[in-house]
Amino acid sequence: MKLITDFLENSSRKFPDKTALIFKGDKYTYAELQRNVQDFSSFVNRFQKNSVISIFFDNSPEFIISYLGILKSACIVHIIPSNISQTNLNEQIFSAKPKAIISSREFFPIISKIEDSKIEKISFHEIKSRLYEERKANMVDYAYLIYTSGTTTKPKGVPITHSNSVFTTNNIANILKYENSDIDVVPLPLSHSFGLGCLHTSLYVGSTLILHKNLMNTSEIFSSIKDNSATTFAAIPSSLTKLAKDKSYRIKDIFKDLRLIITNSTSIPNATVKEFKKILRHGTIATYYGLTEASRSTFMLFDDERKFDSVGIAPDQIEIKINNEKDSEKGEIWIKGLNVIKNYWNNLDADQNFVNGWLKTGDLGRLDEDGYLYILGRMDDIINIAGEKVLPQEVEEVVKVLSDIEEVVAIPMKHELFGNTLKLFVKTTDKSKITKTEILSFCIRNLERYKVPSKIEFVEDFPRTQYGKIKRFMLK
Amino acid sequence: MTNNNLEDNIKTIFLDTFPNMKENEFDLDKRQEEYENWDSFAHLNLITMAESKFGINLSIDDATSIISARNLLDRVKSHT
Repeated sequence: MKLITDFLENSSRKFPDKTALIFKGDKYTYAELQRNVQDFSSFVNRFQKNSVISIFFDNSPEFIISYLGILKSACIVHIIPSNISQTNLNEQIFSAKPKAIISSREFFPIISKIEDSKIEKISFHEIKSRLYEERKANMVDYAYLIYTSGTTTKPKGVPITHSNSVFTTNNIANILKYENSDIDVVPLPLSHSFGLGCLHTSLYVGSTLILHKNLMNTSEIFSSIKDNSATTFAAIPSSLTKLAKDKSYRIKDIFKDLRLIITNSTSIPNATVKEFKKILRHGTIATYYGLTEASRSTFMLFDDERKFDSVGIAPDQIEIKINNEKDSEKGEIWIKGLNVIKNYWNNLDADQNFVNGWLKTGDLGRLDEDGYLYILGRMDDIINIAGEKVLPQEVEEVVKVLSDIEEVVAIPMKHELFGNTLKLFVKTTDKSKITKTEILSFCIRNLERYKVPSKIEFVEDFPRTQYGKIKRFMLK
Repeated sequence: MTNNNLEDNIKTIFLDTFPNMKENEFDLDKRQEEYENWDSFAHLNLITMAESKFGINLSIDDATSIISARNLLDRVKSHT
């Protein structure tokens, strides 16, 4: 398979009557999905090849049909996250320069506000199919454009080629052993690389994808897993940690027969991994490390307890190196491989992150003697406290062990004597009665003295990107 | 908060900050140099613990003038 559209074409030939997608009880077979995509593509064919077409939907069959339909017309899909702010939306549209924006009926009033009269604004439900003519992209063509979440910097456009995506999907399917017998429950946004990768994988192997809008309605997700005898489940680490800590649900009973729980790159607490490894009778938990720019650069299957802090090893044809200073095993993680983009979207400044095919990730890490990668934080997160270098993530990991803590972020705080000290923002679990002094006393017992925070603030929640990642820079 | 309560709380802060110190080794008038590991970072931990426990803010001048548990007790009293 050379193109993303080949995934569906291949599976619809092999398994035409098999259920490809379930969303809110509605089912689509592979043949039905392929027909819908082709009809949609017949409409998009009015735009020239390689035109950018933006799509703006919540998770839904309409998202999938539009996405694949645009790809089938050999155009580039600009994927807009559904919870985007109007300011970011305007910025993305200005940067992506789409010929048209296609949205759900619900979001149409938002795209109508975009003033550029050259951009067509189209509601999905008004689209009428035309006579279909086959168009083919090249594998090196851009397939889709996603803007990075901007946890540390302004969002950057990341154009992914068909070949990037086919390579990555092939790795996911092979390493995590996806098969057409799988039933995949996915409550992740398809507008994000993690969720989109799950969609690609289901189509690639011909499994059944049970798509949810999000993970808010936990009991609905649990029913989905149980009633459909799901085999895989995808969720971000914080959701898994929350589920592992919530004793009110019958987690064990619901998750015990899954063969795979897949999560993504931010660190996942050891306790959560161990909890789910206990729950899964025959299955495993796995994670990966990657950026939108270099999707799934490592895979971690948690089969060796000594390596649980690692995000895994790089698959064939992906190289990882640590660009470190003398005598230090820590340094910036650089990645090269078929999963890595060649450049950003119209952004020469950001293109400075590429050196001879290597992507400088801005992440700080180390490799062990067996090639396992450990993420230590962001290069620009390192805090200097009276000459001592502190990674906020080290402190966060220690505090997270407390069962009352749901999320925690450590940031530098200016200090007259030490230059900087640490301030901790803490989100506790709903019924927690933990006090600041209890947290401090725990820190003193478990951290070097200079890493103990000098201020703690309890928060209801954190400022987040549209993908739910915490915006650290807004706390500083 | 009574004086005794306040003293108990100060004692708890010192025992938390110096986990290797035994309860009977605590003395309100024991001075900084008599502690094995009361360095600048331990000092910061003490101040942070006191600020959190009593909901007060100690200035740098306040903080640097503290060289015993009694000093800390006095500074806390003046803020509560």
